[in-house]
Amino acid sequence: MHLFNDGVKILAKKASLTNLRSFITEEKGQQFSNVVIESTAAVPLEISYPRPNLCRVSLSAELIMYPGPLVVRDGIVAEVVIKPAAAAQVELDISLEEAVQALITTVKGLPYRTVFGFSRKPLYDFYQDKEIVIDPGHGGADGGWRGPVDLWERDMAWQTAGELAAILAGYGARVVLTRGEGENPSWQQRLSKVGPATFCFVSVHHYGNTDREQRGTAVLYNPRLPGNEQLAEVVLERIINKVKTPARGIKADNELALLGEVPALKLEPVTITNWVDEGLLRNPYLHRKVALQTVLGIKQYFRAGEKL
Amino acid sequence: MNKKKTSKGIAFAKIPIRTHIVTESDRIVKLVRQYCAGLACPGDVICLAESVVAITQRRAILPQEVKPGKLAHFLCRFPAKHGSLATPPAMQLALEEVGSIRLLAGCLAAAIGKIIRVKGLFYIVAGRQLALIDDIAGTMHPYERHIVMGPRDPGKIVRSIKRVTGAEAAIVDVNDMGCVDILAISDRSYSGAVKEALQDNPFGNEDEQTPLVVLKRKR
Repeated sequence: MHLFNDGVKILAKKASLTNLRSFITEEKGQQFSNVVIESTAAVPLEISYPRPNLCRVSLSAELIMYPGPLVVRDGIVAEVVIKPAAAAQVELDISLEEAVQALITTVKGLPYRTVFGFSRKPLYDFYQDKEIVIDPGHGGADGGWRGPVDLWERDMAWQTAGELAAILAGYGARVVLTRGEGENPSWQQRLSKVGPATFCFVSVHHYGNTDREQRGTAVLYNPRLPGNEQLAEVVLERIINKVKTPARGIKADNELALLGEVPALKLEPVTITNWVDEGLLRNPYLHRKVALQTVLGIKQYFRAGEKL
Repeated sequence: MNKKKTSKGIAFAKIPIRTHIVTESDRIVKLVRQYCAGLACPGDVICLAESVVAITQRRAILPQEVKPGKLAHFLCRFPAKHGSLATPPAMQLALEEVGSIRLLAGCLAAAIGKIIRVKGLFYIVAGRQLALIDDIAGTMHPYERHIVMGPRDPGKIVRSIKRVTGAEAAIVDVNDMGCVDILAISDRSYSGAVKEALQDNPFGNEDEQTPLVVLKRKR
């Protein structure tokens, strides 16, 4: 046993948990949500499923890392809660958004990694062959709102829409874009891309206001179709929980009403005229997070409807 | 295997430690003791992300608390927009940090650098500490609304950590592009090996709560 200079004990060599993280990987065309536990040595563990949406892992290890929950919300893994149990025992409750079971792999070394891989197949199952029309707002000479430093709504909407298209295409959806990068079709031309096979229409903008103090996220919806309000609520809730922006709320949008009874949303993920929100747009992760949470929110809403 | 032979034959294993969200109410040496007890031994290096050290020193400042002058409004138009000092409050804080004369000298050096195609002259002249300023939205939640300055007295902090833990300590600025800047290290003979070990940014650059990385020396 080693002591820190002022008497803090260094534990005898046994497994201590040092880190907990989550990320998505793709292997041979299949995606996995991974929960990774890092430790100082191999950790004996037991895994059980008390409920279909709960994976419980009991570990024989000490806890060095912070034991607070890890909020994931990636469409498969919702959250990981760490519960110190008896002496040198830790319980991890991995709550799941889908009833899937983990493939466990280990990576030897320091840190020793235990990887719980959950298949993201439910997302493929939902989106396969669904047609989604994505409308990147503004375009060409119409830059939309300009941020206080230098970003344009047109370019940021294009970037967010690109992430959205890539994620949906990855799940087998048929993506139709209403414009190319340098184009600025009229609203009517954009709406004309919607056909009988269209499952959902998503227009991507970023809000702007002459008051630079205003910031936050809003989702607008097509008031012609009952239920679209709830769809907007679900998507808004998912986005703000992930990107930590203030909610500006949901609102009926008359332009979207021209689509008739089609599920349709207009996203305003941030307020580009606000200093902080414009800064957030510089981070590519923000676009990815907004896109993923939109994809997951749409699925969550329609799946809930199927179960009713 | 997360072990790598580094310069001078020193091999490190990299152990990121998940911590709570560090705020100004934390004390950095106490934080290190809390999370590294049982893990870091003499010969290991405890590495700390510089922004977290600065936050504990109350150097995360809300832009509303800064009154940018005309000079700050004018100068913030020139730096690269994706970097720091692109907003008037961040430029004002930079002016207050090094003084307007030194900052203007840095601008002149940067202008000359553009002509002769030499990068980095601004920070050489105006001060390296300005490169450590994270502008608005440059730090993870809940500090995305703040401008985070570089830490004060990093040398003193690493010496305190070494005294308390027996392990070496370093305060570093690392990004995902492989740039590692050591602000202070308790034993300079480790500098090359630490730089090499941190090149893949084990701290992470997204939502990871791992501002502490213990480099365990391979015996």
